[in-house]
Order: sequence, then C-alpha cells, then structure tokens
Amino acid sequence: MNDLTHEQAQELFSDRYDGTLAPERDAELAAHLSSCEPCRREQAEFEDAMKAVKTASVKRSPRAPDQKEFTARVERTLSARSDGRFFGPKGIWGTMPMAIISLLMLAITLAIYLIAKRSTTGSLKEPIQRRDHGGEQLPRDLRNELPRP
Amino acid sequence: MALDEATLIKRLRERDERAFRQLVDEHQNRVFGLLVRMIGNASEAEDLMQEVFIQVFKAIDQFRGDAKLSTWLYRIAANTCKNRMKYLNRRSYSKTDALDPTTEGAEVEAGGQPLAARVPTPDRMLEGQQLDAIVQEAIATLDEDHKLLVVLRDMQDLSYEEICEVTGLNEGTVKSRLHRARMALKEKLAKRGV
Repeated sequence: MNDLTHEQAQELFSDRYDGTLAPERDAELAAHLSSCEPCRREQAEFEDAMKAVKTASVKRSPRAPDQKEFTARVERTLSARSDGRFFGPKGIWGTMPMAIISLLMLAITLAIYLIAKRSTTGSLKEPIQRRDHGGEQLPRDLRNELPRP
Repeated sequence: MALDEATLIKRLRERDERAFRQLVDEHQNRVFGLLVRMIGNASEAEDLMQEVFIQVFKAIDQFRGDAKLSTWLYRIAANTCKNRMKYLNRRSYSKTDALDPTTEGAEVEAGGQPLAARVPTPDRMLEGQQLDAIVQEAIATLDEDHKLLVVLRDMQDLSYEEICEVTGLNEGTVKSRLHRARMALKEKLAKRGV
C-alpha cells in the first residue's frame, strides 16, 4: 500500500486540498506522509501557502471603483465610440416609453380627424367631386346661393 | 426589477441600455477582482474593466449561451487581461502595487528592493497586510497561465468546470497546471518566510 514515491505523494497535495482525492489515494498519501519527513514538511508548507492565499483573498478584497461612477464612465465611452447611437443624449422621444408615444400619436391622429370632419369648408363624407370634362362642380350649398339671371 | 439571465441576454442582444446597466452593476466587482489580482494595479484594472464591458456590449451576439454569462464575461476579462499584460511587458511595466492604494506597505516595486529585506522582523512580516502584500507579490511573479489559474480558483473561488470554460482547457490540464502553480507559489512564499 505504501508505495508512493515522493513525487507521486506531492502530486496529490492539490487534490487533497480541494477535497477531491479518492479515499484510497488519501490513505496512501497519509501512509507515505507518516513515514516521510521531507514530504510532511512539503505538505505543511503547501497548506500554509494555501491558507495565506485564502486569507489574502478574503481580507484584502480589491476595492472596486464606485459603481455608479464606473457605469456612467462606461456609458460615456460607449456613447462617444458609437457617435451617440448608444447611451447618447436623448430628446423627449428617447426618454418617453413607447406606449406613451403610441397613445400620443393616436390622440393627435384622432384630433386631426375630428377637426377635419367639423370643418366648414367641406366634409370628409362628401368630398368635392370633379366633372369628367373639365371644370369643378361647386358644393351643393354654394350652388343655391349663386345669383340667378 | 432585475432581469433573469435569459431575459438579460435577450435584451443585451437588442442593445437595451438598461440591461447593459444591470450587467455592469451585477458583475463589475467580480470582474474587477479578477483584473486587479491579475494586473496588480487598481487604476490599470479599472481601465481594463471598462474595455471588457465595452467588448461585451459589442460582442454579445457571439455569446452562444452554452455557458453562464458570468463565465463568458470572465473569459473576455481573462483574454483582455492577457493581451494587456503582454503589451505592458513589452513596455517593461513592472508595477505590482496597490490592491488598495491607501494601504501602507501594500506597494511593492518588483524592480526595487526585495520586500523581505525591507521588513525588519519575522513577526512583523507575518502580520496582516504585510503577509497579504507578500502573497500578492508572489502571485504577481507567477507566469501568466499559472497566475490566472490561482486567481480563478483560490481567490475568485470558481469551480473547475467554470475554469475550464473560462480558459478553454480540459479539467485534467487545469488540475495539473494549477497544482504546478500552487507548488511554485509555495516555493516563493517559503522563501519569504511564510
């Protein structure tokens, strides 16, 4: 069972540290370490190094830049590089939700229709007719007001 | 309200600005962690992080969706970082300062006096921030591929599966390279008395 060379034993340090070493290999490593002082020392140094790295990563988490400031900076750069196509300054149409814009357009269309319908110069229902052979036919109400000969 | 990942990706493909804001807000801390640990300098990492998010915005159509968005983001960050490191190496960039620029003792100039020589006693050397600075210095001197694996696994806590997706390596290669990286790190730290 205790057949591991120093090299083979040390190859298993990482797996043991990660907890992915199979139980039988773990037992072989333990057996080798129990009888090998240099490998025991290597193992201890390995564990200390890993502990130091872990401590450093937790204690010394890098201080990220201010989130809002950074996001704004990225957006400014994207805007500049896309000639304002993305994240550029927007007019009222750019900031208003599409649903509101659609409703507004619908209301404006309806208003134009109603105004046109109430117009005294003509009706949408009775469009001005043209004669087939040239001159225009006057609206019916105006025809009655023409001076009689 | 935050969008779920599938909706977020769909909106990002439509170049929805709010979705992009959510992406940046959700991921900037972890991306910054990776970059600053790889590059060793906070302001350089911030510039790089901006490039990463811009690249994501431009290349989101290439995201196939067979990995998590965060993993894809990490892959872009890792590649961007490698390219920048190559560029900086060509310009003989040697600064390994400043995970926290305000922290006294955190600054280490690789080209200057060795850190161990500036620290008077072993007791002090092993104290808090100085130990962290030594660890950071040791990681900074690993070669790029080893450094990336140590940072992803031991500092950013990514699973092996995620690391494979980020690096494009298979699990066996990741494990063996990571082991070599850890052993190299152990040697460097042992030399500094950790």
